[in-house]
Amino acid sequence: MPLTVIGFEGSANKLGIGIVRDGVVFSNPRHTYVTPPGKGFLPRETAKHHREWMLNVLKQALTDAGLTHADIDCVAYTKGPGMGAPLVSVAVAARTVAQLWNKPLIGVNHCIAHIEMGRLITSADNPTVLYVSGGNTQVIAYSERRYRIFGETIDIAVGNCLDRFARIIQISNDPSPGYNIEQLAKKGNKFLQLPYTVKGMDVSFTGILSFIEDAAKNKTLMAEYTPADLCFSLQETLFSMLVEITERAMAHCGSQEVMIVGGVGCNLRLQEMMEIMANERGARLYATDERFCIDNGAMIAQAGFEMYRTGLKDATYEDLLEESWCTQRFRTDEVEVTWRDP
Amino acid sequence: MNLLQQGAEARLFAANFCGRSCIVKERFPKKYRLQEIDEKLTKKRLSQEVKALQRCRKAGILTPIIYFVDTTRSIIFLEKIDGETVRQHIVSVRKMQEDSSYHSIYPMAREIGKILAKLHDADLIHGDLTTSNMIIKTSDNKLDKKTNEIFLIDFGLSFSSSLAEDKGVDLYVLERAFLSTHPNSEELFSVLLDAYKDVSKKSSSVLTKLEEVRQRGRKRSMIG
Amino acid sequence: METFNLEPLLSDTSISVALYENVTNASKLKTLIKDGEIHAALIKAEMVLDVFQVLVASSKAFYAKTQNKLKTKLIYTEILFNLSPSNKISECFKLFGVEDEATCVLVVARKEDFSEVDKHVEGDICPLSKLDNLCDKQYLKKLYKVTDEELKVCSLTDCVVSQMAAKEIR
Repeated sequence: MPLTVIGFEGSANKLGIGIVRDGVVFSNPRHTYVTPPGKGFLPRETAKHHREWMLNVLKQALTDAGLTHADIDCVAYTKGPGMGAPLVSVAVAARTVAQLWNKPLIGVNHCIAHIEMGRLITSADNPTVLYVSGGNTQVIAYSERRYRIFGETIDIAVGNCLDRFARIIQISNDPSPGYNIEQLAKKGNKFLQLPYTVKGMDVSFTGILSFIEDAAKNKTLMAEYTPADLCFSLQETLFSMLVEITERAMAHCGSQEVMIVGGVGCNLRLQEMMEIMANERGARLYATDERFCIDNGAMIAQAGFEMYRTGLKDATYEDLLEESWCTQRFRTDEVEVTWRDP
Repeated sequence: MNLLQQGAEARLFAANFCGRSCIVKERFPKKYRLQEIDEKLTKKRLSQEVKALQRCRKAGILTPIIYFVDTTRSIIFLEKIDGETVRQHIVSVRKMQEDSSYHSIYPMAREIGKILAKLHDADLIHGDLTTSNMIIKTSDNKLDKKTNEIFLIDFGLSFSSSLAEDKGVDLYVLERAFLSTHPNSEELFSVLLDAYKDVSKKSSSVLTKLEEVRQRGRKRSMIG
Repeated sequence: METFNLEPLLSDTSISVALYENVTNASKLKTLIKDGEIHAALIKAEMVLDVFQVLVASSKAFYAKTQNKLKTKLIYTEILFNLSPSNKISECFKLFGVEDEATCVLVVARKEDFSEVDKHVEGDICPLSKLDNLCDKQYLKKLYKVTDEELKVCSLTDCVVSQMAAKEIR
């Protein structure tokens, strides 16, 4: 019996709803809340955006898939981590349709959804995962029923560092600040030495951010360096650190596969650097494009599918409904991975 | 020279240096990063490693002997320590016993705690503490008893600092590596910390910082 | 006398190391070296704990030559320089080079140059293992500032060797 799962994602500024049937993505529409240059997205406004677009995106997900609610076997939604208000707005919607359609409801860890989607799309078997987004920076590997975090940022996430820098130099947030930094960086060629803070398999970004903030405001320095040069220098430094800790984790775990997931993961320069590293050690890189790297509904559906067919297969509709809450903090290693070999 | 392994920092080769077996550690250029970044890091890390090895020895911490250094080609020749990494040791001990507990490894964890206390009391930060960067050497002594000696290696990310914050982060890095590499080893790690506390003269401020860094990790918002 | 290959840095170079006692012509030997008649380093035997110490200094010297990075004029003076913790060249020679009246001399030469050197030495060749009795351990410990804490985890030779190897890095 094929299993058709619909997934709802809205932990940050993207609202995505996707339908997946046994590993095939039937639809995956998304709508992004874009703020003006110099402004980040705030919880209240983001939640409002999600509520406003919910029905449109849901309808589109069903239409694109050519399915009706009767074809859906299970509803999955993001339980966390993320911003409180947007999480709640999406959880309420998912809970509503689950009850309307009388389908089981499954709360999914957002980070694990990224990993499972990456594994599905790339067919990587047991990769070391670099998960990089606006809120997360982790190096993850699987062992004994958990996705274990080998390395992570000890302060802010890499995407957050990029977003905040974009605000300082007033780069457009459309389609995303990271994308625009990536484009601008291609025009930069003069490298400015920035702090480089690696602590074993962990990294720290606040020092770099405050350094480059000061640099951007320094008139004498900016006579020498263009904003493009700063984007270039920032990307090169941040990504070198990320590739380095990923490699360190691979060496530590003896891993020959590496996968990049999360919004920052669609940056082609990061992918290129990771690929060079992988080749140098005879390993293989698996990466995806913006459809699946950036937050989307299909990834939630895919992780929900794995959970539903394994650990939760005997759970009752009522139990699942009872468990349908959400949380801003939800660590990757809290989830028991029931769908992979121990 | 035989390639033994390719770490994140360097390639390791086995060789013979004037009659002694040695490890050749070559920090080769990392092509993924800009030359400007790479050359600076490589140079700095080689020098940090050499300095830390010397200072550790002076502080009475077991580290490999340095035989030869070539800063131009970024090569260090080091004494080869016969033994296995603490990581391999823990994994194999757990495989051999019937239950998956860590009890039999407690003495080793205490020993590691003591070494780290000495390291930090000498104002040295390792920078990359993991169970892969410690080697356990088992030798038979005269009384027919097995003795375990633990060597610290891989000092490329090390630096000197007297700040409790830096020492706290050093322990935090180890804790994270410990718990991710060795599932359910929370108790084992607390044994290590207890020994650290017993030996280090400045442990209280360091452990307070460790707790602060842990809290930062847990409380971090994770949006997107 | 023993011969050692300087692998893995210079597997095509082998050196001979010999220890002489009751030497009567140290000053003459020094002149021969200065005049380029013989090619060797003459080391104060009291300053050498173990032949390994000399091998480390020699490897470094022969390697520096291949890289055009000698800090002194000759490979053999470079060996003396490498043996010392100090960066002052004249001080190194005073510390590790033999005096005119020296009776215990450690000779280091390329394997192919050794027999010519040996011909000129007036003294008794003896096994290198004798270095252990001859060397002034207390003095070396002081010179290299080796602590007792250090000696708990490392032999004196190894402490000295590590410092020699890392001399450039401060």
